[in-house]
Amino acid sequence: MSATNIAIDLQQINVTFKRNNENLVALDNVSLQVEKGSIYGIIGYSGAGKSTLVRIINLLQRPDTGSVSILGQDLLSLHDKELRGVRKKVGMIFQHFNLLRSRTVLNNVEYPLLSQKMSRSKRHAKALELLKLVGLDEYAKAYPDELSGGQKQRVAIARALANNPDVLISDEATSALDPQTTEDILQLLKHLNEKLGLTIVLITHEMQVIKSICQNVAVMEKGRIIEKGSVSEVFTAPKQALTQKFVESAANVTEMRQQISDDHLIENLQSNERLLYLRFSSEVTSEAVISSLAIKYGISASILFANVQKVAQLSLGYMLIVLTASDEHFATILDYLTTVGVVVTDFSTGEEQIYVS
Amino acid sequence: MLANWFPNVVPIWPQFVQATWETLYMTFWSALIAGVLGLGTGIFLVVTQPGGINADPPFYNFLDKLVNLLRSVPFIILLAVMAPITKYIVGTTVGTPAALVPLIVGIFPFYARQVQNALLSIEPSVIEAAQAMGSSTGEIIYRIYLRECLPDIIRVSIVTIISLLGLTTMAGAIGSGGLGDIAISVGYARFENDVTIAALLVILVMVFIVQIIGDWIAKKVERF
Repeated sequence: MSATNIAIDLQQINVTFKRNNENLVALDNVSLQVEKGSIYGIIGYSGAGKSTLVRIINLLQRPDTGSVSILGQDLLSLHDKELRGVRKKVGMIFQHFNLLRSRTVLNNVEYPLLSQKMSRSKRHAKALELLKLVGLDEYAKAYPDELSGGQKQRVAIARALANNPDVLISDEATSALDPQTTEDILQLLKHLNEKLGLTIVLITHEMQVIKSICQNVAVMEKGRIIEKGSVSEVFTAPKQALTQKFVESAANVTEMRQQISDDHLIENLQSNERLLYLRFSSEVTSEAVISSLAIKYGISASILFANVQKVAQLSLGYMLIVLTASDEHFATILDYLTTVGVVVTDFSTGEEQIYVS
Repeated sequence: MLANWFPNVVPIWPQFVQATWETLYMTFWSALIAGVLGLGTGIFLVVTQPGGINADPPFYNFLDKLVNLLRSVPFIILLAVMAPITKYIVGTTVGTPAALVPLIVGIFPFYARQVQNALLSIEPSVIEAAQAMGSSTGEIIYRIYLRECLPDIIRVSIVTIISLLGLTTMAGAIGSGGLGDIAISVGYARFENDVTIAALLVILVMVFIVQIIGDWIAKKVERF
């Protein structure tokens, strides 16, 4: 990444909130670089510092220390007026849309243009054009409370684009929407990214969102970025437990784990049975694993759960099986599985025993 | 009919009409001036509160305490206490114009508090969105706070004007004139109950008119 290719450059950002004489570290030495024209996802649970981090980008939150550079401009040295100019070039959308209820859809989209010297008819035309872009031009005269959540978010997106921004920040923009609408909004963002070359930074707590449109991802926990990189890199070989959890959540593995304890699977195992959780990527397929167990070792395994998800052109597989085998037999099987690249977790003993080649 | 129902109003009819005008005069001018003062104070309270768009906690605390203090003074005592200041500003402490000073001081903190509450109904996240769009403090006040809250501001204005009508009647105690004055100094003092009732009826009609016009405007500006 050459310097001119960077849209957003945050270096060693620290933010501490003081509440009742207590110091809460919101961001702990966070650095983030976002390439122009890319879609960067930041994932983490609530309270991880995601919202604070994206608010650094347009300086809605000032850092205690660190540097903030947007399109090569050092924001911390700017005066109020100059900063407002930069903010016009950084659009932002929110979980609860934040539309103005007393204005029509068209007037909402026009809002960012009001502070510019622009004729009324030009402003109308621009707003209408943006509404067309998000597919809502028929609703120009409607009021926000007459729209569905997805439509409101489209209006908010049109409004965020009014000043032809270079960067769009999405603060949990799909968290209040149903899965289908979420996907529609994400595809719209992707379309805008491709059509306008818009750099998008989005924060979410849902893996689906990252999987669906992001090229890069940062995982946040307790005010820190604990893992970052390309989506394929981070999600095929997650290094941190939290990252692993997010990857699994997208394949319903979290529910599977819950099922294990709800159904007392471990307690009900026979002495020669083992409960195994297998993870593998593209090269190995579930059928291949199960059938070779049967053919090579004459062992049948019953599958309790299996799922495959696609992340950045890679298929990731997850499988929960009960295997009936003696201890030495099990050692051979384990050896075979790990050699072909399967990560095996043995739940049988009550503790999770992980085997990797 | 007037002579039948209100025999004692007829002889003082010119005085009664003048009292009506005095009440309207006091209500109009104090509503106008206290309206500007109260709106400004209400906006300052919201803008300078901790976490506001131009947070200034010391100033906010001062203003907040001042509003509370002024609101705690009973109006009848305020009338007396304000006399020296009224004399300084108006040159006299009696008469209708002199009543404006205590009326304004009595009502504007009440209005300011209600304006503040109305403006606080805007979600902080909407204000944040405006900031993210590069809006200045003035633009946020004018285009978001005042515009979005206009129906509420109209509604609290009606409540304030109706309270103000009540206060003008008390100002009669310091010789302001008006319907309150006539109800007490003629109706009550001379045992001419019909005069008191006539004054009351006129005030009730004023209240209804204010309420009806106010509701109509509030509905009109809900969306525009």
